[in-house]
Amino acid sequence: MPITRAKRLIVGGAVLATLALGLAACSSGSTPSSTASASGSANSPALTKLIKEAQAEGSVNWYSAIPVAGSEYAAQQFQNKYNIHVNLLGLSGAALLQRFTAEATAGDYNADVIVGTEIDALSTSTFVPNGWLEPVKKAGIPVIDSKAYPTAFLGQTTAAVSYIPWVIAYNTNLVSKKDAPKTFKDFADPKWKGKIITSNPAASIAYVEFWDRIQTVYGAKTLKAIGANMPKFDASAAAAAQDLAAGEGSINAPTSVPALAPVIAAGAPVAYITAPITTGSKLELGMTPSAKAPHPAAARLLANWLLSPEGDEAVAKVGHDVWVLNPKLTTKEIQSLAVAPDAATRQPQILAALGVK
Amino acid sequence: MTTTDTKAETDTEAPGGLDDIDAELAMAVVASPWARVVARARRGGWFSVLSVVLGLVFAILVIYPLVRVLIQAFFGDGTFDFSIASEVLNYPGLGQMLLNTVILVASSMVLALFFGALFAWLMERTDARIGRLAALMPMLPMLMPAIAGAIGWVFLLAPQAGFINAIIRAVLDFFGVHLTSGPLDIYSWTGLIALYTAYQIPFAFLMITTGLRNSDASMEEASRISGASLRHTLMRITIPVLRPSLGAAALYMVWFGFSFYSVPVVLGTQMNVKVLPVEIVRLLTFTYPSNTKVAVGLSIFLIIAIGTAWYFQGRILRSNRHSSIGGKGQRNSITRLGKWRRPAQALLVLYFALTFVFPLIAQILVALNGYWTTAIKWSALDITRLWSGITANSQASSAFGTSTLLALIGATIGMTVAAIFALYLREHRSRISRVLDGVIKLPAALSAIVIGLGFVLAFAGPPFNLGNTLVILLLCYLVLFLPQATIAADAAAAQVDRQLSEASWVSGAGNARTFARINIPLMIPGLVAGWGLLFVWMTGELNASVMLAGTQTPVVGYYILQTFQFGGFATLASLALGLTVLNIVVLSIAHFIEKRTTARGI
Repeated sequence: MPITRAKRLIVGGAVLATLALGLAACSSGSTPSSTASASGSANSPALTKLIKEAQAEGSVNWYSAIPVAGSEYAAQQFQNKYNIHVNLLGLSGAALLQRFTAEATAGDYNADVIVGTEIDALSTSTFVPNGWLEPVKKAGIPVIDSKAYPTAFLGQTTAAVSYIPWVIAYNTNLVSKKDAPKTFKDFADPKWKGKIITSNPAASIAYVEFWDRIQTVYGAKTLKAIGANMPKFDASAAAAAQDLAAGEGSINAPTSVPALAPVIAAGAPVAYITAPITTGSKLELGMTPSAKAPHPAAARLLANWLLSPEGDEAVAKVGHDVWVLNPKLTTKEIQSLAVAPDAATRQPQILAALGVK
Repeated sequence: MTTTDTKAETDTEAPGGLDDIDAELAMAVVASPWARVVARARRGGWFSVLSVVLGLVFAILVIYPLVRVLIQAFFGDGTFDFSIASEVLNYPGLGQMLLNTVILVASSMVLALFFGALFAWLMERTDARIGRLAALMPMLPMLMPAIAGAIGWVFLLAPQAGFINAIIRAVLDFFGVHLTSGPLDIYSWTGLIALYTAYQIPFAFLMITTGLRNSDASMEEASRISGASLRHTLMRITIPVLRPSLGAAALYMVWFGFSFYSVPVVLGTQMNVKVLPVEIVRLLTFTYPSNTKVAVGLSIFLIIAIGTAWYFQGRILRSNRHSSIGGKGQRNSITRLGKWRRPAQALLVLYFALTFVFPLIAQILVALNGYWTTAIKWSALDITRLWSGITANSQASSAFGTSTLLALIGATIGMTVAAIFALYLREHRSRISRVLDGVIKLPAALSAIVIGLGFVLAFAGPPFNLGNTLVILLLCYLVLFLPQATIAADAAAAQVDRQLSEASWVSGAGNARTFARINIPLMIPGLVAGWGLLFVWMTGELNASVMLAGTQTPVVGYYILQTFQFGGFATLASLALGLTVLNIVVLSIAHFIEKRTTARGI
């Protein structure tokens, strides 16, 4: 039974996310379908040589901010394909960067590949100049060298892997699909007062960036009205999902499919909606310089796989994330999930509006 | 056994040639403090040298990582940043946050001391004792990782979906009283203080129990035979002889309360109540780059609080006006409670149920059901979910192995070092040895995540290259928990009469032999209790492990924190249940050893 539910969740999530993003798109932009040519590099001599070198190294160290189940699934797929063991370190975005930085500062280069949340600016300003990472464009990754990976998703020194969009969840025992909020603006309706479950906006900068988008689109008054309806905050997205499943509140946002997946898979009365206006956490891939990486060839092979449609889809599969090489979505649709780069500067005002002491 | 005021006791010196002593003392008078401490160490033989060396090694292990963190925080751009003081003092909501923390720590400490002492007395001195299990009971809240325990209480007492609230509402409904939520609410100050107290009672219980076991009950018996009331005996005999234990328990609780993260992060966040340790962790993990500077600045308040408690504990121990184990045998008399026996036992059972059984049942139910709900479909419960959190992936199971190994080694080394150092400090009260003691206890005042960060900066890279090894985890755990180990060892050492060591020296034994044959056997009950605590803390350590657990060295705490942030609570419950079983097994063995050694009179 859980497997059937999980499958329904996967299919439902993918369909909902696709439909919602389709609605969100004002017009269709160029599609990243050119990535299909990535498979052309599969038989290239460079890749064949890389596979041999990587297999000789035997393992690769991957630091990932992708929710653990998603990283583990992708790691297993990579292991199955190349017979190279993946040593995975999964941590939340800020903790992962703190860990990586502390090690690099100490001269301990343990990570081969890092996939972090919104790390391009930091990578460009700090990590690459310090020699802790090297630009992915110069890292010798076959799909990038062959231009199979779309340049639209290349950052200055990193490459985008996926987005984890923020969604609206509701308890189906307490709220009908018809009555459930369809947009984040609906959260300002006084009828939801005391019924909203939300993760503490001060617990992560990603929440601040999300609420910043809501303020930008719907106005500061709406944000304040939403804050007035939210008397309690949960310590984490997982805790909020549990509260929702138990009926401690009726609706939960912002939340993500990876946070909801365990309770939905267990049969909890929880469903979710992807609102037309939302944001997502952008996951970007960085490379430790070949000279410092413990497994330089395996690192390049893992990066090559993650930046090809097969690996990119695998990374997003468990969490129903939006993978950037998804041929069914346009570049514009995917990039509509991006946050304002200066959102963090408005943090005090946003937290005050939401009633965070 | 003697209960002595040893202030005026003779100051017999540790063994060493008299000529050597005179010469070295003469040199020490004119030498530097460092030369004096070396001279004193040499005077005490190689055992004292070993003690000093151990003290220095651990002091370096504390100081060096902290210096690296401070350099990183304040000299990040090459020049000293003076803004820290104003940033910390003008930190938004600082006053309210400090007040919240002090209220929580102080109120729960008073309550925990009361209940801990009451339970210890009931177990050790009365006929309300409920066998072996009863002796373990007050330790039970610690068997489950605190974050899982706090969530267990949410499962029970959340206003809408709390299991206990649902049962109460159903009962009230039967009598025509209809409630839509409550009547109890864990998200309240009462709930917060109650959970702080529940988690602090074990410290008081363990320390006071050790004190009671090591003190002679004949004085109390004599008091009662002489016509003194129970209350009078308690106030005039029992409490005064327990001063070291009470002081150690209070210090533990101040340390624990000011660093306690799990309960306030789960309850305080919902209540919008800020407390110091949660805010420090938030500053370090909220975003990147983390606000290490302000986090370290806020930690100074913790240092002040714990330093103050440590000072007062030191005064209690130094006053030496307390019970100690003498050379004669001891026996404990049992107070018959009469009609109060059953209520007293009921109180113990209630504590057992509230702090362990109910949260455990809640965790098991949630694990079996797959998610938290009061509408449980009993026919759909899946027993494999009880262990799926551990068996679902190989890293989780190997994390259990790594954590167990680390805790076994770490707790043993930690308590041994703490015992050596505690005895050294008892015999050598120089300024430098007290400074070393203070430095070793310093980590108790700092967030574990700061120490974890310091260890990465200090030891992960060249020249040590300890990154992603068990060694760096072990060293960090030792530094993190040595303060608690030394507090337990200090209390155990304070209970051993110095005259016994002196008798050993007079009989020709050296310091090492005295340590091995006299002090350690007499300290074993206290040391084993401390060992058990260290084991539990090391297996469940969360925050430093996030920085140090490697791709090849995963530990349980890291997985639990991950699951709390991203996973399902059913998985968290499964992990917590696995750790609880492990802790019960290990602590039961430790308790068995402790009882045997106490029963054998060593």
